[in-house]
Amino acid sequence: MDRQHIREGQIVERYLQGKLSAAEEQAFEEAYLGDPELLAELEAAERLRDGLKDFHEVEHGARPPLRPRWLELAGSPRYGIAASVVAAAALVASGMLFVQSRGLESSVTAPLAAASSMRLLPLVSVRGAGDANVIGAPAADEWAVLLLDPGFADYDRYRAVLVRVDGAAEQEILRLDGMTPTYEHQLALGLPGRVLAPGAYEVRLAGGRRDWPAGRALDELGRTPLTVTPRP
Amino acid sequence: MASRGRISPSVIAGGSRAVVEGENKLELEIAADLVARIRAGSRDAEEAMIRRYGAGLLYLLKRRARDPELALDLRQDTFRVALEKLRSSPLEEPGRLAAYLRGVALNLLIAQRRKDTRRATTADSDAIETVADERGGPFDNVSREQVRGAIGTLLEELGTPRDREILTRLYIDDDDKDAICAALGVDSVHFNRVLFRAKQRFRELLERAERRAKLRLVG
Repeated sequence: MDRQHIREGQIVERYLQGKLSAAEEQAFEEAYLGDPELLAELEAAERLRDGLKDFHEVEHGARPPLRPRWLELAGSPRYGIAASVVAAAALVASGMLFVQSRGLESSVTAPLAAASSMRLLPLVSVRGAGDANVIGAPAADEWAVLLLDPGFADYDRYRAVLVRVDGAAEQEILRLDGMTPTYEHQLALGLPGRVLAPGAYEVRLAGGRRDWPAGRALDELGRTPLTVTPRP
Repeated sequence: MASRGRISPSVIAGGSRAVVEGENKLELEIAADLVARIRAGSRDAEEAMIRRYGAGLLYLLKRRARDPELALDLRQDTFRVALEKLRSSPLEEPGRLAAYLRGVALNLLIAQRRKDTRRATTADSDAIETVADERGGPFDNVSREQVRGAIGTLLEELGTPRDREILTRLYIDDDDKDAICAALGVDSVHFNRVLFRAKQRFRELLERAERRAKLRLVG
């Protein structure tokens, strides 16, 4: 049973559904016994299947969406220490690339070294879980790094725009062009903590390719909500 | 039930080494080579067999037995039975070592279910150590919440409602590919592409979550 047959025949999915014939089932089981890559693919498909069912239940109101555990982890000092070197590099790069920052000139030009601490804040785009990205307001002398997952589309440069959306009119807080994935293939958007006052925000992400014609607009990739609550 | 001892984690966890070792060989050649070397008394070959087939056997037994503890015991017994056989007599089809191991495992499971006294095994091996091993699959450290987050990210990235519907119909409704393609007006190539990329992306997200889970467990 070769890979092409397994893929085109949806052997993995049919195995999980219990729809293979006895002969197919035996051949597939013999194939994955000695093939760690195929076994990992099978286990991932099983998690996807179980996860979709679970997610479907949550989305339809059976249970409220839970805050991802890794989001809590990401705010922990341990996680921050582990990633801080990479994030710091991303922050410095971000500072150099700001092309627009309304009312924040002094903030973004402030030396990074003046920051008392740094927080990594992975943002999650989760349908049906609108409160997934709720964070406490950073301290004024703290820096925040918003980690955005660009997905698996075929882009090599990105633009992120942080917009405050809870006022009478939307307010663009900052815009960062020319981003490329860094830490764990995510986009790092660094900003001074005092920029993130309590309120409702969106991070709007767009993607493009360097070999596109100069006038071509970037593709809009999505909007990720972010709620900043007052500091306790 | 035989010993509650476990195969050493260090032996089973080395599965990737077995892949590297044999990346340019066919499964038949690798299996035949292992069988011949075990027959000749090679303890290295015994360990290599356990590394190569241990994770797959555990998955198979968990799926069939629906009892992780029983699956671990049966895997242990499978290797004991197999080593006893391979040391003493040749396999009829040495290239089909996976088929042989699968047969032994399922026979042991059937015997267990029939409440028969399972075969008393006497084979001892340096390759089988009585060290507790609860190792499971590659994503066992990923929590339910993390999976849910990964699913949400994946669905968001799929782009079109139609592509999301493909996954929903396939994995939740258990529809067949042909029925899904007909209902959604997509061809087989598009279906395969969406499914392949979705699974690939989901694995990336799971692996990232797994790394974070391990990071959390350190210190």
